[in-house]
Amino acid sequence: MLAHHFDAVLEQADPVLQVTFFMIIACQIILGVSRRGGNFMLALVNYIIQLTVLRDRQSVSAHDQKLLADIPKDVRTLEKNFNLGSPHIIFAVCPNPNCHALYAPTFVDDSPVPIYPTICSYVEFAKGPPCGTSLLRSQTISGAIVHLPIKRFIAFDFKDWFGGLLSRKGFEEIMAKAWGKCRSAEDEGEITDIFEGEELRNFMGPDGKLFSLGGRESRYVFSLGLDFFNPGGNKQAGKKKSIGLISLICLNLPISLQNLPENMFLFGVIPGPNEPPLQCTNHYLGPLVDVMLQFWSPGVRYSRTYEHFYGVVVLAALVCVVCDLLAARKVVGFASPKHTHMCALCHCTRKIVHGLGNTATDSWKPRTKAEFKEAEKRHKAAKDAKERQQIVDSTGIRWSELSRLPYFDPCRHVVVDTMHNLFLGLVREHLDILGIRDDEHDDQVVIDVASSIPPNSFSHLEPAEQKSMKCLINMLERPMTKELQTAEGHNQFKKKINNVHLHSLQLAFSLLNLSFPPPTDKEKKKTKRHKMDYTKAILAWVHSTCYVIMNFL
Amino acid sequence: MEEAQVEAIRAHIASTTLSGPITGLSTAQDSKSTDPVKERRDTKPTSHRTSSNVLPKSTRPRSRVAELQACLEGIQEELDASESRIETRLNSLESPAGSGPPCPFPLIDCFAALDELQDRLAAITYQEQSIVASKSSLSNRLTSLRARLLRAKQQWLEDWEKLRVEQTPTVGVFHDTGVFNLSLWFSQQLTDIYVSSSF
Repeated sequence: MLAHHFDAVLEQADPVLQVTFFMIIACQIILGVSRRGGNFMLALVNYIIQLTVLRDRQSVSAHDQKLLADIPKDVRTLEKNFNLGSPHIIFAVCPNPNCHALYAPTFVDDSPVPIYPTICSYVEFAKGPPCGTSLLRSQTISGAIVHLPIKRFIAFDFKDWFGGLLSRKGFEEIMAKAWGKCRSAEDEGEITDIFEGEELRNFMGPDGKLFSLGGRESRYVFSLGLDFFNPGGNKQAGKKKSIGLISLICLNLPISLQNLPENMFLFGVIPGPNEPPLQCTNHYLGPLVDVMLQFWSPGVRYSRTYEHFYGVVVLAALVCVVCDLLAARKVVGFASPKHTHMCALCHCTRKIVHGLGNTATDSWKPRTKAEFKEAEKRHKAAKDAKERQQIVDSTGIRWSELSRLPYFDPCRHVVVDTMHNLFLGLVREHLDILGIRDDEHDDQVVIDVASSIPPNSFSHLEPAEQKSMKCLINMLERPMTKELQTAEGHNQFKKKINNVHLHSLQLAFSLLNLSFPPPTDKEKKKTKRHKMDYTKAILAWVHSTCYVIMNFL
Repeated sequence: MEEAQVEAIRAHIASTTLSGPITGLSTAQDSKSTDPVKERRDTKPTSHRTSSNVLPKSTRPRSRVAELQACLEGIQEELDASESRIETRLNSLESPAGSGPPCPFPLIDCFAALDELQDRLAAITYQEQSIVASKSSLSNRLTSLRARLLRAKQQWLEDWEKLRVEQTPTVGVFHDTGVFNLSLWFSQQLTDIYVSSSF
């Protein structure tokens, strides 16, 4: 399975089958045809060939019979023939939402049945108790009872994936060229590639020499990406689920090739339904860090690549973590951006003195790798959660799996990606500052509600209700004529109002001097007013106000 | 000598050499191809033909010895040319290249050419003294040339093995992406050589 990168595909097969199988595999991979669709295509192709060979004769020749018999029923057989399956390990994940420990399977002799521990034995603190959560559930497969993990994490083989990349024509050559930029870059001047940056130019290899200088080994650098998203889409009323992707990109590739799906490595998908809490992300990074340690020293020796017929040793390093701020903090071990020690680069805090307001850059004290290592060492060795929290509170640092990489510097190797940093962050902020935001008019007050409901009038409400009331005031003050012109917009607006706390709605109802519409026959029997009644009354008021404004305009 | 054997020799001679100077008549192959590849393709299979339909249809009696001598002279001419070419190539033979894909012994095609000459020589079994002497002389030259080629090949393979050992890394965590199969690669290369070579 592993030495498949130079195997010929379907070498002995009939040309009719070669072309047919290629078509189906191309449909599946490039056009996104499902496995079920692939099976349907296989069955149909079988029938078409059968009809073709029977067109001029009554019976099928022995050769054609073999041809038809060689067409598989399951498209997975084709995937195997085309060597498309990637080697992977299915880890059992502890289903305890506060644990997430991973367990690799073991195999007895040549048995394909994986064996996992039944109970999670992960110990969070040195003298603490093991987790003890059941990892497996029994399942009957073909009459036999097998024990399978309740939650799984599939980790793909990075070594094999990279071996595949190096076996592709021309890739080693173009990736080697990247180091040329590193060597020719100057201290001053425009930087167009990470290889021209200071960090990679001064990055030291395991031999103590500049990594960029190379040697007998081939050298590569990677970036790690981790992001969480809702697999069901981000709907207002939808369920809030979150799964995470861990991916790697080879930075040696030209920028135009780096982010192509075929050139990216998906290490694994962190299972949902919720994001693993803080420390637990480390469990998923552990197997990847193990591999990256091998790539650093002594390196991985591939038996053959496209350029190296007799094999080559590859050294690789993970030189940056590229993700949004929240995920970056989680992966690297820094506290949240809302924490007092919110900065990953210096000791600036949220306090006013020596904090955010301090613009004297000379007085800023940068963080160092050494102090980070020291703090996370203490964090890992803490005897209980309380001690850990104290360390985080005082330093803003947690232990991270990435710290096992000897070259990894959390203070320099964390990069907030362009999309989050520039498009969603800086650009928006700058437009705000310049006052040229497109949605400027959205903040305009078209109906003055605040004067009818001043802040002191709802100070007696609970904090959450007060917040809710502020949201309601903002909502009612915004221009909404366009939204209310469609049924969909109307319903959405109704939902938003209905999400406000009942007490807030009641208060707004009374302060705005609203009244309920005349009750219907059914409603006459009602003795109590519900949240929806207040919502409808407020909505009716909004409609009437908008109608007045529209007429006025 | 049996009649069948004589016929076979006649057929062979007729099919592999020009029959014009001896018989004055053309055969099925009445002229030598100018394309060496085509020539090889044409001559090799017919050299083993024994059926009577390829017999030269001579109209006057021929001297068997003269025919065979002419055939041997043809072989000698080709051997001279081959020897000269092989000498030149052996003198310019370089060690296996340290970069790029491994290549087979560059003179591997010469073996096939010598084999062909050897086959043609072996087909002459007439025991006349002058024929035997000429054949023996040619055979010795062929053997000597083949031995030189073999020595060169042996040396080349030793150099290649050294290079392979030198270029195969020994450190690092091993990961199998496929091993370079030299014999398979050579056989693929040879197929190409036979098709494209002008030797």
